[in-house]
Amino acid sequence: MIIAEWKPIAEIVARLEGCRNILVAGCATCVAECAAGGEREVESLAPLIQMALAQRGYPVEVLTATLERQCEPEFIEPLFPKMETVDAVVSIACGIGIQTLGDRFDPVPVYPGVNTTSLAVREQPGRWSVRCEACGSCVLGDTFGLCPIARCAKSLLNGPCGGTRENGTCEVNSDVDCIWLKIYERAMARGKLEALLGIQPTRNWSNSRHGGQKVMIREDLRP
Amino acid sequence: MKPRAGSRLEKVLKAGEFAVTVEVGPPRGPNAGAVVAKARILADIADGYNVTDNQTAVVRMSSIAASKILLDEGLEPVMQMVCRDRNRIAMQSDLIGASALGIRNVLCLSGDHQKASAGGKLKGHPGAKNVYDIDSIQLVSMVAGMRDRAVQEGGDPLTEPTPFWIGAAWTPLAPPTSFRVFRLAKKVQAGADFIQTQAIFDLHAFAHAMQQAVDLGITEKTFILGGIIVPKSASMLRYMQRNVPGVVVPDVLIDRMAQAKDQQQEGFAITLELIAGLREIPGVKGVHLQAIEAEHLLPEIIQAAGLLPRPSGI
Amino acid sequence: MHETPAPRIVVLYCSRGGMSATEAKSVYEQVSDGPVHLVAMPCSSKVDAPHVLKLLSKGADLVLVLACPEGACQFMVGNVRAEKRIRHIQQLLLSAGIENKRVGLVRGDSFHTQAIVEQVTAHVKAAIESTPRSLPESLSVSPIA
Repeated sequence: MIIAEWKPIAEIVARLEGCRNILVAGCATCVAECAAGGEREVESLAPLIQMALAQRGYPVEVLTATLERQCEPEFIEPLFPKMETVDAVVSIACGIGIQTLGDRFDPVPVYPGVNTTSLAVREQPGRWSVRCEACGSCVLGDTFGLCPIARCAKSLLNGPCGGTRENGTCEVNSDVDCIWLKIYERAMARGKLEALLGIQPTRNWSNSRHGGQKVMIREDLRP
Repeated sequence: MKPRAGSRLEKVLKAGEFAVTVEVGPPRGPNAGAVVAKARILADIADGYNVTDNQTAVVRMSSIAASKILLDEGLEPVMQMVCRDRNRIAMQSDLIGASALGIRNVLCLSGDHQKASAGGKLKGHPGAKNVYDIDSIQLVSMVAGMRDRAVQEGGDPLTEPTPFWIGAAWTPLAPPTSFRVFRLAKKVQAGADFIQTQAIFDLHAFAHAMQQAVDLGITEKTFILGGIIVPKSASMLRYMQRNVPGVVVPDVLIDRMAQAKDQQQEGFAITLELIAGLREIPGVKGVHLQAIEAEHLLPEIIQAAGLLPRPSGI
Repeated sequence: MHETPAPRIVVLYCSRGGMSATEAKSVYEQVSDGPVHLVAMPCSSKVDAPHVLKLLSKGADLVLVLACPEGACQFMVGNVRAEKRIRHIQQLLLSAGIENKRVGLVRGDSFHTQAIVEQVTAHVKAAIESTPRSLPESLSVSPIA
């Protein structure tokens, strides 16, 4: 799922001073999965905002809404009547949802209540770990299903650097295993070491942000 | 055989002499005088002088600039180039510039991640965007293409080839140890003419790794120089053992240092033993010496190791 | 003299700790420092951030959770989870700069009336006296003697 984390609350609140009616909007999909923007988080953030602003001398009315998905117009539209009196929105959906709301309800400002970081999996309760960087040129077929672009701090393609610690973790982030060690172990377990012996050539990064804002078109699906 | 770059390091290695390279760290400011001073201390003691490239992600005078200063002082630099900070466009541009300035040796490295910041001792720039457009093996290929076919990575021609003696690094003792020699083989296949290893303190383990390299025929195609860091204290050895991946320090060495009356003197003695030990290992064609922030120790060490004067008339 | 209004306290207590409804009522009558509302929970682990924060934003000044001792939870680790959640809520309040609202957790074998009255009184006092911007020590986990 797309993962995000709360911005420091003080940072969020600083933007809202002077507002009378605030809407805290969440999303029940990715950010709910990573405990950042679902209903529970919306209903926690709303009273925090209310109390913080009250303490600073700004009494506010805080409304809440948790949409099924904040990136779909059909799910956003029902918010429209609530928006009549709202003078600011704090969205704790991912960056996509924040912008979709912002576009629909322009000129009401939609502030991000989270920092969206990447595409991850929940490894254990309370621990999410990135799996994909949306690089646009997937090499999982060459690396036995383990992504070195997302999971190697240096996005190396030809095996590990000299920074694999004795215990197999990465010298940059001791919280994670050296992914190249894991790729090697899989290759060996499957008897396919030779797949790692050839030189992987330089990558074409252009099918991602590096090539400019990415727009994907499917002619067969266009109206 | 036609020289690839005609550098002194290339000539010494091809002549079958045991080569010596040392490391020079550039200053954290535009102080050309500091580089000149180091050059004067280190003159005539090595066949190549490695100039680091923002090592541990700490901003220092650029490798290309410091290399040129060394060159002007009569020393032949080994310009280190990392993949962390520059994309292939900038790297090729720098390589062309380095070649134009007379630099003939380059060491291709992935480079420490910017979170390194001198092991957390300096502020550094941990928030910088990293590049890693290509990895060290692809860099070796790229330099080889520029040298042998006068072609850029993307396919466009260069007006002239860039003659470089191309180096790469090897960390044989980091996990997975059984894969390290295969990765070394890839570097050689990509075009690495010489290899400098991560610092060795465990000669036995290194000898084992070297045997694997010999068995794979790697030592026929490239020249391997064993890396040595001059130890200054037991705490330095403990630090490296604990914090530097791929550096394996046997306990017996740490104990020896800890019990020594004069740790600097003991470090000196250990260095000499390591150099002597390396020379015994089949396939090792030279030594790469690093005395971190203490380059002034190097002349005495190399002298005591019986490696001076450096061969002449080569 | 400027009179500070009496703090309003909500006590969320684990009903398996053994406090009867009568005892609960008598706590309410005995705490003299301010209005105390007692709410029975099937387990302290049912305490949750949205619930507690809503209580605080709607007028409570202090939410105190009474949980069973470690190892004594009917639901195994419920009381451990409760502690984690209370600490998390404390962090949220701190990071939002909310100084006049408190939350805490206290453990005990059985919550007989007198002990609760003493605990609540002590915490109310601490809440009034503690300096702003710090997490008062007495409001982190502390066992009932």
